[in-house]
Amino acid sequence: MELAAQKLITCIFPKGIALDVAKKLKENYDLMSVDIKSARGIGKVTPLGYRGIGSQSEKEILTAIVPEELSNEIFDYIYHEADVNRPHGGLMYIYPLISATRYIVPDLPEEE
Amino acid sequence: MFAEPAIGALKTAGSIVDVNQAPYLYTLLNDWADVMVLVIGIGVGFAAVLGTIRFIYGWNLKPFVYLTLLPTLALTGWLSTHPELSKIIGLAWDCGAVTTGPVTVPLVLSLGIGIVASAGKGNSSLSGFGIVMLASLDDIIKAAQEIGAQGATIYYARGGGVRERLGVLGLAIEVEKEVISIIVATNQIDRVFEKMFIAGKLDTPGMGIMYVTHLDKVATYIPQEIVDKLAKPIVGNVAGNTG
Repeated sequence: MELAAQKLITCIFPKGIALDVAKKLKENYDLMSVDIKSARGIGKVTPLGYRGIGSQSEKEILTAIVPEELSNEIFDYIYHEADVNRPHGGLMYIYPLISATRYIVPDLPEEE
Repeated sequence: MFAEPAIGALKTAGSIVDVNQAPYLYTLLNDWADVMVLVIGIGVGFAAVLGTIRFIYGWNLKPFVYLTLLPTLALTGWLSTHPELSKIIGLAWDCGAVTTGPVTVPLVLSLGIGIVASAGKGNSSLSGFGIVMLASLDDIIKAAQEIGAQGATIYYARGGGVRERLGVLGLAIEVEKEVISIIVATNQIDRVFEKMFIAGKLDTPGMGIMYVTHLDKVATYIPQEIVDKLAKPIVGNVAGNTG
């Protein structure tokens, strides 16, 4: 079991964004440990607040365990892919993990 | 309540009951049918009111289940010991099935959804997480916002550990959990943490846990006017200046 220096990126997105980002992370960075959870956000300003629906909105939480050496690059990649830099675009943060296993897909021989 | 198909079916059933074999059942379904429907309506309304109050105050569901189901089962047992009264047991439980009918369900569901939606709970940044009982959620978030937290993200989880070790008694411990995630600035940690701790009564056994972790980097949208304001130098006397 390989224990490597890794970091956890957590992203809180509006509903409907996380799955596309997760697919791109898998395609471009071969990340296997990406999870998506449903959540609700409570804040002082929400997208539908003007309709009197209240201060809550549906969110998706994407978490990805990434190698430490690629953490900044992947963080910036997610930031641009998910278009976080817009009103109600979401929030993301990163923090180090003391230890985490890195899952590597085994190399399977081609079937003849 | 008269629009509910299940009620109409009860009336039809009343016409085929033999008065000699089941006199009480015949009376309830024929002579006292309107009174019975009225009592069913009052019961459903009372349950809806109780459910609404439960949503508003965040009460646990289990006491309601115990306080209604246990007497009902006891009454069923007592009725079964009487030869004439035992014949209305089926009717009594079928009347409860009206709450799953095509008229009652949409009304009660939409009421529940509406109530929950409207009433339901430098430097580097540090993130606070809380895993709490369902009932405490709104108080905790309100307390955090009053002290300066801008928002919170909540997701659901299932807890395990103590419950499995208690055997049958573990049924008294709520499995469902809600996880709250709040990001606060470094200088706010202690205040927000303390406020959330007190609001959530986390010093009580079984009310949950809370922890703080350091964040390396945070990214979000910041309006340009705020960025410009932060970029401006502070004008005026600064503590320590002698000039």
